[in-house]
Amino acid sequence: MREFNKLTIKNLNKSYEDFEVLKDFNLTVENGEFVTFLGPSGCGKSTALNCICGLIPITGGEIFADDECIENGIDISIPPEKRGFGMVFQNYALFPHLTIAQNIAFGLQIKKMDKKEIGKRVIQAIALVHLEGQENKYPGQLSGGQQQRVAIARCAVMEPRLLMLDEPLSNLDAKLRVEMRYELKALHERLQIATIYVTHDQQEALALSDKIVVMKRGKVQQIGTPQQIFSNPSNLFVADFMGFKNQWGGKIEKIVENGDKVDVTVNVNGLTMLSIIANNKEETGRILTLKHAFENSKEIVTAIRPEDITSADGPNNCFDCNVRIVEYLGKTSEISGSLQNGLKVDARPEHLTSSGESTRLYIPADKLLVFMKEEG
Amino acid sequence: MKIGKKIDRSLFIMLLPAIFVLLCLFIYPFIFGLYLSFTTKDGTYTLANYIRFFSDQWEYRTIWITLYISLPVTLICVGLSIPLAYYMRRGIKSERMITFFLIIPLTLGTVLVSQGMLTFLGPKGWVNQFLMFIGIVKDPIQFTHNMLGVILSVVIQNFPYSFLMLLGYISGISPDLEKASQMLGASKSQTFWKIMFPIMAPGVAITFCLNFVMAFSVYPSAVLLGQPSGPTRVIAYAAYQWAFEKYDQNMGSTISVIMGVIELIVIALVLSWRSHLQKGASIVGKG
Repeated sequence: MREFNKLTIKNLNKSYEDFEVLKDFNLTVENGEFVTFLGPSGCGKSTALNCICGLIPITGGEIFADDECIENGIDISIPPEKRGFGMVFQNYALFPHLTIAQNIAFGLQIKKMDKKEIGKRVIQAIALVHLEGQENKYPGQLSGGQQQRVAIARCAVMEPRLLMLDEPLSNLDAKLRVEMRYELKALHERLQIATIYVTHDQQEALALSDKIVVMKRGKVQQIGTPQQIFSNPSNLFVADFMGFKNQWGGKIEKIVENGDKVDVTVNVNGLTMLSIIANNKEETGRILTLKHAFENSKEIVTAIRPEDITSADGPNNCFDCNVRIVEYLGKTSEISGSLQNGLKVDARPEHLTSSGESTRLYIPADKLLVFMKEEG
Repeated sequence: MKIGKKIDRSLFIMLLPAIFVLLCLFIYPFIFGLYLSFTTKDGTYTLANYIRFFSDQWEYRTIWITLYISLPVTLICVGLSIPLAYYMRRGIKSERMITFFLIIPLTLGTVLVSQGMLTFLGPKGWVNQFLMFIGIVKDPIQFTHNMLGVILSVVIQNFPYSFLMLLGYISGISPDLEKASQMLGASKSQTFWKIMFPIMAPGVAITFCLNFVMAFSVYPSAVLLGQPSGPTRVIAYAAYQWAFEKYDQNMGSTISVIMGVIELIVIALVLSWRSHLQKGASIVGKG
């Protein structure tokens, strides 16, 4: 494997005429790291991937592999085949006229590698993805999951310094998707190749990644570990994507610094809710923005996940809810109803209720996040 | 299993009208023609018609004349279509214009196009005037009433078919296959020869077959732009002469059957080339 420590992307821009697909994209990928680009369709995540591997020319910025500039949008552009990156496509892109073994051997044959060595590596690659016995079949004779494995083997056999996967699981059914997700993770543990993974599925992103890049309309919204993204989304868009289903607009009534915590009291349509933010370095930015919003009495949005709302009773943040719909989810039920002030709420309380009844909900202050209202 | 059989039966009933039409319009005339070719005028079975055809040089040489026209025509059409369709596979700016001009000759019909070609390629036509204007030739080139004229006009008439067929086939191949090949280190020409061409091959083979059959049954062009009395007396013209000028339906049918057999032989050769080229892959790499 070629020496490779990190990939650095600086201010990457890509636009088609007036339309900006990617704007000031910055990222570093360390060796062995699993990075996921997460976002809804059309957010530029696949474009970013294609730019990195050189299939789409960039319009600005620089890409470095270690210290070597591989593309700068002006005069340097190393062609994709010379970058040493591997790519697994969404529809697998297996060559239909070649057998599985021939598909996997293709890249090595282009390299003019010794025939014996090719044979050895193909056998290894086939064993790696557990496809022993399928060598002489054609792609059309394999199932979707098997084709996916061939696509991965075809890439892995080239020993790329960076592996890129473009929504590799989206064509599989739900059960197979979870299985392949597990195998991808295991494969990454074994090979320790730096990997960039593109998906619109937050579960996949959380399960696989060391680092998640959340994107929206060509702009990076947040870069962080799965834990950071899940429990501490940086803005309302990321929160929405991470399942903060309850979003209520309101205004800040007061902000009180309380030792290592900051209490934010919010008026949501007549109801007073308390949100507690840890007073540490990571949250300084957020606290400053909220103070600014408070001083200018700007509109804010509070958000919380349905599963964070419980049935407990407490001194504050407890509200009565008229239950309208109960969805049975197996372990719990998700209820949908309205608070005293008519606010719509989704929750998963422990107390079983049925529609038409009233139940008491507790909104934990440390789980309730406050965001600026999204512009546009 | 019972349900499956029931569905089959009702499907068969729905197929009946189509089968009836096929029987009346295709299978019956075909069998009748076959019967005619093996009989004399008074209905006795004989091989005399075939013996007569193959022992008369004037007749059997029509096979070579027709092949001499149809093979180059098909090779030129398919040969030009492959690079052009490959170039246009992801769509280009003036694609609609190009397709429009290609479809026009198809809508006009062969006779009108052949008539037009007669003037266009004639001694005083635009082609010759242009060639003389830029000084390539001093005297007009004889494009019409010979083999060259027939070949040129059939190429012009058949090219749109082969081009449009191949374009449809090639643009149906997933662009990711090319990208994948490129990511694995293949150059553009390696991608074409090792990936794209083998995947295109079934389409090329079918296009070749259809174009060949069309060119082999050339008739209006050979009559209007060639010399049907001699050098361009094609096999279809020979069949016509026997059937409708000499009123020998049996001989006319014989020539038609021979024509069909030759077409089948060429198609079989092309398809065996195709399956030799790639075994087991009739799957187009669609996304």
